[in-house]
Amino acid sequence: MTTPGTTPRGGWHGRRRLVDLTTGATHDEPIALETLRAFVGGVGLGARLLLEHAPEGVDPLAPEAPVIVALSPLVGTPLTTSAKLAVVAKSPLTRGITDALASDRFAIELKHAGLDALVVQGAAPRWSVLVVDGPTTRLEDAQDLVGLSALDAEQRLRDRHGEGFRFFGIGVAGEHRVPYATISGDGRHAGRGGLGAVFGAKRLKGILARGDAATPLFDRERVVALAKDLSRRSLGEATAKYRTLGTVANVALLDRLGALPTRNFREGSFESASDVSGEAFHAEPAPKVRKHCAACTIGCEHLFADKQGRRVRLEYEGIFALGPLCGVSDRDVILAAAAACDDLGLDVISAGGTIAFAMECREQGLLPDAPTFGDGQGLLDLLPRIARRADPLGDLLAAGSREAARRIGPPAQRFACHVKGLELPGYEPRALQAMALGLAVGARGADHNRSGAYEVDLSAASDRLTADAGKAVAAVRTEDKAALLDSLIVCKFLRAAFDDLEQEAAAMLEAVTGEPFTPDELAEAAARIVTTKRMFNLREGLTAADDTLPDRFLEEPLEGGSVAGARLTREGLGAMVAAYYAARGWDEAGRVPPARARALGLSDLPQHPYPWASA
Amino acid sequence: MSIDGPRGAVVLAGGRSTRMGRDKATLPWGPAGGTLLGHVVRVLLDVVDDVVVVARSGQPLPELPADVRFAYDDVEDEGPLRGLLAGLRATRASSVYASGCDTPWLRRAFVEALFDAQPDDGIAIAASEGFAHPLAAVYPADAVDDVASLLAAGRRRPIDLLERRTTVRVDEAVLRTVDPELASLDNLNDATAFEAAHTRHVLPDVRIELFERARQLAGRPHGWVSGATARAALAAAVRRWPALAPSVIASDGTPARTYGVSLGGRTFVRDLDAPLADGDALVLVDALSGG
Ligand code: SF4
Repeated sequence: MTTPGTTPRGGWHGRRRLVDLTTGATHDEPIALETLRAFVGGVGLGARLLLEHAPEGVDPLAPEAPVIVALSPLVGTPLTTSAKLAVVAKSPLTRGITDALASDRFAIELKHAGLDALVVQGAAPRWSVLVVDGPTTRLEDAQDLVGLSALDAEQRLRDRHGEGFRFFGIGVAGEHRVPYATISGDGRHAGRGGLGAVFGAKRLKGILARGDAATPLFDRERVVALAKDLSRRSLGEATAKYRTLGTVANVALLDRLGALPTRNFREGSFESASDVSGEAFHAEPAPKVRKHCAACTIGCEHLFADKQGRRVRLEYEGIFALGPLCGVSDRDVILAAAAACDDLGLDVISAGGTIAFAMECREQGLLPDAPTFGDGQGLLDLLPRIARRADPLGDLLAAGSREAARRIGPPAQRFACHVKGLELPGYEPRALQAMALGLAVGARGADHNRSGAYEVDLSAASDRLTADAGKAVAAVRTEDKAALLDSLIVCKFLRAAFDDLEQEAAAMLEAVTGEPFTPDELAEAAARIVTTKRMFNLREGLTAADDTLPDRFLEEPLEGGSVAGARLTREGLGAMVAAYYAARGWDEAGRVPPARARALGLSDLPQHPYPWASA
Repeated sequence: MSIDGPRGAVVLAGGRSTRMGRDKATLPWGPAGGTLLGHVVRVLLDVVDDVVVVARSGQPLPELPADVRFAYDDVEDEGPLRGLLAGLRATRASSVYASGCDTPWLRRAFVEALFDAQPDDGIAIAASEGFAHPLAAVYPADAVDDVASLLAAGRRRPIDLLERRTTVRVDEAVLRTVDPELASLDNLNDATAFEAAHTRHVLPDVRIELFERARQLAGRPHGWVSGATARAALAAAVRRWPALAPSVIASDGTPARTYGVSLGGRTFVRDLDAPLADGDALVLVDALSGG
């Protein structure tokens, strides 16, 4: 049993670096051990730092808006899947918090630069790359990188600086401040919520990092033993699906369950699902390649060859959003569109969701220039026009579905399928009603990586076609689990390998950091992290009214598939949201009562009448 | 080993039904208006892509599903080999299950198991109590020439066909893993048997649908088993596709930790011991199907 320290003894460096791009000034500040213990790392630490560094009500694309790259105590340890980072900022798409993860060796280099977090504010006078080289940080001109994909920019920078540096940056969409632009390193994207636009607004093409301060391990022997055991389990049956098929395998199952969003969420089943299923992609004769993120033993990434022979990374979300959601059944089009999104730096879900919205507007006579459902070539043509805001239609759709609908006018609003401005992922809420709750209350908007409530729907634990308040506790549980995984950070695809996540996470953290952790403390940390994100959103003007789903889901029955006719009522969703607030210990407006803030160790933050706090 | 390519069935309905005293093809069976031939055809359509009904020309036949095709004995009353010839000539499949029209308890899993057992270019035939059953067997479609030459030589016994092709006899023990009561082999020959048949209950046929990892392990997207309850059906599924245990289903039919079972792709089964109906579909779902 370890005893608490006063300064970090392992895992964390206890340091953040603040960078002002406007002046080029940088300095390091400590992060209290208490804060690190309370928020662990990753999205938890990032959310806490965002609350501290973001001026209240800041425009997400203003120079003062911070973007935070948060690492975790496990980065740089031998624990599998731990080479991850979280990027956290106020989203230009939702105007609430957004946090996205990416896996890359960049995370290890930044950690080895001696940092737990990088807080970037200001805006560079010209296009720049931020170079973090161990203890030093400088800005480098990046005018020659403008217009390049993140991958090409990375290659050019590696040629210039040598292999030691790793890059994390934006493509064309980020340069044009598309509010669903991504940031990526080695082709792996921090995808949701438009973090790429925040970089773009700062004229920051990316960050180059290198370091040699190895992650300190408190009990190296124990860490190595735990890492060995976890690696062994990561190669077992619990992750076999990801290794052998990848997430593309979800297509056929969700279609069978009537939960595969089709033609802008009108239907729950796609007549050509078997043509775009994971099995169909795997059956293509062209060779497939499996890839691993840095420090990962699983290797869930399956690359499929497109017509030009290029290797394209394809996930379920890419297939769903660029295929069935747009009525597209041509595998080559889906591969080409996924490759284009990667290249341009567009979030596939928001890109597909916004184009599906435009297709339905076209059908309704609201957007005559948009392609029709099923028009794969039209979809492919649109992607670069959106990323470059090349013409009026590209510029309109570059705003995302919520804002585009606002500009078109009220009849279009019915077709914008988003929560808080973030386009919905590939889980039909009427067919998966615990997930409907998870999507509605998510701090970063409709999202499947911060809520795993579909796990409840896909079990006998509750009836997936009924909106009962009993789902709230399960939704909280899966959201907390995700918050913990995303703060540790270890990959979600490892989750089935844990018998008791909190218990095993406590053991890993204790061995790495030397700090005592109990499973209960980690469960509480997860609740604290979710509540902190909530507080940020309330502070920025979001309210309980934002915890809902678009009218389509609450007024129209689902068409097609095994649960055709399924309905989710406004009252049903409302009752689940109310039960969710209660399960979180929030008040009926979703604000945080003082006692709850105290229990979560958040009472140092402003209290009533502050927007997040109830009396 | 089984032959790749479309699976078909040939149903011989042109017999004289002398002992029954009335045409077996039109015997009433199942729901109001249903017939025994219609029932057999529907069962087969669940497991094959193409069904050919072989009849006598001018024989009155009940209404059958639209995708059923017909062939006619060119020489009547020559027995099943002649009917098989007509069926093999008409089929669009690469191999066919041959059946009489008087098998009210034909189990879908039984038919699938014979297809699965079929050797390359060969025949899989059900065998019980020392007898092979030519009308419970899978033949390659290209056996048509062998059948024609046997008939030309005046040999009318279907069993003679077995000499011409590699043949796998699927014995009782194996057949009982998919059809515990061996009900598929029971046919109705006379009026007494027909009357008694109405009171017999057999285990329901249950379609098991597999996705993702389970599909990969079993090597197929779906298949049939017999089982009175979800637990029994899942246990039967493990017997058919042993690779599903233990990561998808335990050998006693309990789904593994992260798996749920959806009835017909709609609700999830809460009581694994509740009775199932014939034709129910169980969809095995890994609750972690996300990402
Ligand atoms: S399982 Fe997949 S996403 Fe997770 S770390 Fe490994 S390769 Fe990356």
